[in-house]
Amino acid sequence: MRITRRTFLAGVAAGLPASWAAVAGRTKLENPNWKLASSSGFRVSNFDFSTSSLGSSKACGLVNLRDRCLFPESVTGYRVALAEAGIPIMSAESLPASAFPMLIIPSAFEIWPGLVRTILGQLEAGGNVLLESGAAFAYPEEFQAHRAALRQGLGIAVELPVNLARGGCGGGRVPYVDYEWPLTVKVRDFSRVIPVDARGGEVIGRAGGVPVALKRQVGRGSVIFLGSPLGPALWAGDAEARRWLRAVIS
Amino acid sequence: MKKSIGDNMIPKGWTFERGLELIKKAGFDGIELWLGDVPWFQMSTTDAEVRELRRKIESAGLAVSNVSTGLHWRYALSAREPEIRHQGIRIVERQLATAQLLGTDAILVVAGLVTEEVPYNEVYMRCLDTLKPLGEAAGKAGVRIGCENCNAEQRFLLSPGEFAAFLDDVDNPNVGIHLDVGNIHDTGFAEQWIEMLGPRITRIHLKDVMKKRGRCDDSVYTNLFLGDNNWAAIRAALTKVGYDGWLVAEMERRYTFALDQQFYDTSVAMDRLISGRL
Repeated sequence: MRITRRTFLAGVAAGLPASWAAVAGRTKLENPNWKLASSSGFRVSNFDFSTSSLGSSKACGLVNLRDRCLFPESVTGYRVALAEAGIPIMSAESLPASAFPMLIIPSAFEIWPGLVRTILGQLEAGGNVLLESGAAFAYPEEFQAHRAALRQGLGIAVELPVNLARGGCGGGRVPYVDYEWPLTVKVRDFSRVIPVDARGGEVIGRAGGVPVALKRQVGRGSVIFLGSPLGPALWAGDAEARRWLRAVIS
Repeated sequence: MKKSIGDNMIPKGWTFERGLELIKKAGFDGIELWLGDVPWFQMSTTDAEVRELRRKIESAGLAVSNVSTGLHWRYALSAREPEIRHQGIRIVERQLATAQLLGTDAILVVAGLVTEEVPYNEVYMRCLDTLKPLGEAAGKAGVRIGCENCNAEQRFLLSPGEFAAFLDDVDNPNVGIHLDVGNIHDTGFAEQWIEMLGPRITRIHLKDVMKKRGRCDDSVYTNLFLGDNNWAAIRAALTKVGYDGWLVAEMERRYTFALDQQFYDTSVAMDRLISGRL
């Protein structure tokens, strides 16, 4: 039986740490499923938003898309890596009204117009966005919607997912993504990757020579698109992945 | 100790009832049921049908030693694909439910599968993530989850120390090890696993193993006492840790002729092991 992604992930999300729910309801991102409001206000069952600060000037926002995020462990990976880097979690209310340097969106497979507007708002205000795609594991129709949103909303063109486990991205099977910016590291790939069109920006990561990560200037900021999830590697304790993330944030 | 053998050993084409009759006649006390591996016990088998299986087993004078499955080789709890993982969890949940219906308190799970694609560290974390809540569910069901050591095939938790550390991390008394003394191959010695993991052992699979393989396509497994396991040491270790539970025959290599004879031979060999006349 084919369960829907939403049905499955709703169950998974229920098991996520309560700390994520603690900051729920404070973001103003427009979510079409937002109308799950209880009489006492918003009850955010499918979207969480956390922020972190690196010192007083470096801050990260970490968006948990919950049932629109394909790999909950990816969110956990970023959270753990940020914490280990000594970046304390701040409540969203403590955030300055202006953009913060990095907004991290792990393992997204559904990108709706409200999220695009938020991303663009951050970029226009001089913030940066790290958008990690989980859509290589989505159903074909979900992937097509993801692809269209990336193209229309952020100007990022992506190809159909490549199954590396079946020998995609070149003849040999070297199971790593080579990141070239902001430093050179090797991180385990995630079985299936989404190739990106190199003309859309600066290629920062490749799997078997195929571009799978890209940095693109938008407005006053940059969007970093990852076609192979990094969060699970962070979660599994990959030191190179954590070093890369720290370098991106700093 | 009591003797059991898997229902997946029942020769193809035989009915469940005929298999039960053979198992009883060969001198076994119980049967291990393999969810998904035999026609009479599938994920689609209803509760009522499971109760009927139990009735037949008890009518034959046998008990259910445990519920096992080979489905986790396809639906690994450590899979990257959420839906495969979810199906793996559903399988464990069904094992727990059917164990209750069948009157046994143990299930076998192949917890993680390290592959070229999914690396060890990820498998470790995913297994922890899935086994912690499943351990809670097992506690509520009054059933223990035994994670099997499938060392060579699983490439995961390859030493008794690693396995013990993993169970420490799971941190739930309802999750232990289903120890297969034939799966250790050339990376260790079964008696040492027994000593180090004693009270955490939920069930024991018995088979022998050839540490020096012949041609590369030969099976490494063989019948009891034909391989390189030190059965005297294994018996002594069982005494030392006070294991008095089920011993479950899992003969990977089957007789080519006289298929029922393997049941008799295995049962007699298990008697010799239990009695210590080695």
